[in-house]
Amino acid sequence: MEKVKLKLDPKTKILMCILVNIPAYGIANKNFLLPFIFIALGMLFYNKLYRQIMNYLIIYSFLNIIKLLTPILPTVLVHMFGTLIISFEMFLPFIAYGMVLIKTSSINEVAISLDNINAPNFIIIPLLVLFRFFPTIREEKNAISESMKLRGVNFGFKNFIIHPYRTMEFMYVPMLFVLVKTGEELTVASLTRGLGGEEKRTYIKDVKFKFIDVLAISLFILLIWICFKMKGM
Amino acid sequence: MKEKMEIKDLISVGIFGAIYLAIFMISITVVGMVPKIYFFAGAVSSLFLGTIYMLFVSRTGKKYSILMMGVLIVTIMGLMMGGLWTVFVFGYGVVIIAEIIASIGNYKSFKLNTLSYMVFALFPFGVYSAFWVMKDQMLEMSKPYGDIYVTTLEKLINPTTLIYAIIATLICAMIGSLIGKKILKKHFEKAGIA
Repeated sequence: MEKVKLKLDPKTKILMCILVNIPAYGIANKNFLLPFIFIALGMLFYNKLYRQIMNYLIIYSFLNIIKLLTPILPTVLVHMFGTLIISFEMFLPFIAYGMVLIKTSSINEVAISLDNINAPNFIIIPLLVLFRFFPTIREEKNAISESMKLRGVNFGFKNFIIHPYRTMEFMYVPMLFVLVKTGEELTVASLTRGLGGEEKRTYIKDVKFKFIDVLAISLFILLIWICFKMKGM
Repeated sequence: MKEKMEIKDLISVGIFGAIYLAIFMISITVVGMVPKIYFFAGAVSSLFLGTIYMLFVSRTGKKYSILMMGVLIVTIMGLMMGGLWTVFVFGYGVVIIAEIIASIGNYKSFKLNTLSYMVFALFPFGVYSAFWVMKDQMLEMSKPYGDIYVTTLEKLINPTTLIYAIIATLICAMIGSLIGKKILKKHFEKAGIA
């Protein structure tokens, strides 16, 4: 028999994403966040996502190195990076759990999981479309830049300062056209698959809220509670 | 007009929400590099986002469409940038007001849409409010960056800056929606997708 892989329900992962913000914003000492980040990295490791772990560690160490170097760096740079690092430090844990959510469960599973608790269509569809379109926007941006280069339009920082309106127009108009068209195609495609019908849809994949999810969430809340207790000491 | 939101409109909400968030994030990161104008990032981004908002309203002029997109954007932004409760309370309030204003004009009146966008563009202040609510914690966290940085931040966190930033955002949002109208008229109405 094949070894059964431990798998958390996407709902659990979403809940973890939300819960991890409580210690991230509630505790000033950022060392308390290390266990949370460690758990997320462990989950990535379990799913063999080594590249993501590397990327995360690079960002993490980069921020901490800058933080250590601040006494030596010139004040201009400190001013530039200070605000950025403060806000980044707060949402680093969230990034880790977001990575776990996006990389370990497919969009399909998230949809099934939300549909199981009878979440209404007007929550599920916009949310899923939003996450589906972030990569598309990046792709389209690169494609538009390429094709605009042929016509001698460069989307550099310099052009943005000299001709702000024109640069914006050249970027926006094709981008919005593409997005609107893709949206229409997506609508047709999803209507064909029976989205928005009266009947409840059935699924091949089995995504259920199991005992392990309850266990994971309770342990997570316990950890947050311990962190807040330790802080007081 | 009492039409229900269809699948097509829900997908539009997702798409426009995605591009709105993407451009908002880019501008806020670029502007956030300079601490002196950190609180004006919302103003700068609202210059660019007016076009998207106007196109969205003109494409899905249905009840609750603005509310839905706003709640989506505020929730995601709140989770990613600032988990403080003020983000959600302030953000949702702003979005509801924007929805009511636009619905008075049936989502067709340009003046009311502009007004609604001006209110909508204020939602980033939910994030900034963290600086006022948790002022002491912020200042403590910035200690490792040297005394000069702390004093700069302390000077920045005062009510006058907040008022200036809000006024700047309102004005920029108005200009942004005018730009949006111009672009819509020049390109999208001709193609029949506005």
